[in-house]
Amino acid sequence: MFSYLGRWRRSVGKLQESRLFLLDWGDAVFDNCVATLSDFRPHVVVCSLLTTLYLGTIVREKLGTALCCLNGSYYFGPGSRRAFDQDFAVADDPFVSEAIALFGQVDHAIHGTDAQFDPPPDPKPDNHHWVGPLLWEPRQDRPQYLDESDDPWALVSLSLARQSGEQRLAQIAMNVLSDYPVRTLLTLGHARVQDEFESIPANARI
Amino acid sequence: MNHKKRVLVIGTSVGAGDVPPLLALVTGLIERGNDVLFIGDQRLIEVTRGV
Repeated sequence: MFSYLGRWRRSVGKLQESRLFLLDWGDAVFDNCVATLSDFRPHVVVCSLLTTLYLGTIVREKLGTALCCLNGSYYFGPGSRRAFDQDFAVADDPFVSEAIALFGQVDHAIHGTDAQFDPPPDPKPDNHHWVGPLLWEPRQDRPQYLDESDDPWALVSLSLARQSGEQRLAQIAMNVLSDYPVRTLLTLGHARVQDEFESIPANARI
Repeated sequence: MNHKKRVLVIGTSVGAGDVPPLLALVTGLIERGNDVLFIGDQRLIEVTRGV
């Protein structure tokens, strides 16, 4: 997927019409999945808006399966109260704008907000569903130190996706917070990152 | 009437913010007795291992 995405990004601006390389990627990997999918015969394929919607679109085209897209954010589309580009800096990225175009063609859309926080348009699209926050965390033991009485906690949290400079930013945050009467908790998107820190202040835990 | 469905879920760890909502949805589908086939990349497998 990354190689297709790189090719596609390099092609944007050079091509008059930016053909969706991710659809090509979906085509390329589909054949490898077709035996499994044929045996499974899904009633519906579920995908995420900005990542796997391209592959979900391919599956729907080839298997005639209903396509359901999960939007972890608020509603945007016809009648929305805020345009996507008011909150997302990447809205003018062709990768995003084309994903949003595909989003308008799904059979069902699930939004990870509720109708009180994110009021639906009027009339509400019949195939859009506001299900409330979709929360998930990996199953793990709760560290005992979280229940100890002491200074208040300051949370520093890294994304699940590695980002350039994130480790340095987290190190600076921990260093600065070591001058304050708080306990710092740094959460990582990937356990291997823990070995990359130069020092861990006495008031910090990872 | 049998409302259980065969659901194919396609995920990737690339869009990190998309992962928790997708896994919450997968968990709910499984708990309600649907037959779920979950396809994802290696990183997503690591995140969900043992869940």
